[in-house]
Amino acid sequence: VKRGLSEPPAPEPATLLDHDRVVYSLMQRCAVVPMRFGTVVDDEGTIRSLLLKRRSELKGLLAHVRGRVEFGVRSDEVAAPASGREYMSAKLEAKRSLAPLAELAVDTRVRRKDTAYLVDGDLVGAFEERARSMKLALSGPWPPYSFTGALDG
Amino acid sequence: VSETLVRGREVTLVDLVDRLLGGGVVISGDITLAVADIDLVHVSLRALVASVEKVAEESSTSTRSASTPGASRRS
Repeated sequence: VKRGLSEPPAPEPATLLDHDRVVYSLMQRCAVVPMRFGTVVDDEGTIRSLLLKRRSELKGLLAHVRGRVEFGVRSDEVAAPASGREYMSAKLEAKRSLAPLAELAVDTRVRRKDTAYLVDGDLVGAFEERARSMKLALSGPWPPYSFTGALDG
Repeated sequence: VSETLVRGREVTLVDLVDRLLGGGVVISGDITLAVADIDLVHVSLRALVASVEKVAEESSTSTRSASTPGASRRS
């Protein structure tokens, strides 16, 4: 759950990829709750107190993501909707069409440009297969970057 | 922008940037967020996320207001 970066990294493709690679490889060994990229903490003592302070929240997040990975499906932009109503119905339709995928996930997050799915390790194959059959392009597997916010309900 | 950057995984730069700068646990206060070299879109995204979080924090520490627009946008 900890990472050993000490300098403030510039958000360039190379550093972003490095960050992702480290978090992803950690994820192969244990449950990981990623921190926002660019997070720099002064010293180990501060890390300790931060972890202690948010202990129950972080434990909850860990339990939620353990043994699971994130996948993303890009969402089509609603092209120039004529009205708010049209926009909302297009959104609703998009959500409905993705329901078979959501069925296989334990949690979903609608992000700005895509929908993120948290998928059990056991169901990854089935999830990818279903996405293929629906002709959807998946991104991932990712560490659970999108599932680090407050848990729903 | 859809080249695969990491072998064995479908990881594109767009998805990566979106997740790393928009996702992850945010620690307020004791941290520095590196903002150099990010283009304006992402800066404004983060500014949005940051301000949304501030709103959420404030509303939960003071009186718990029903649902802030920010809170619903975030989830």
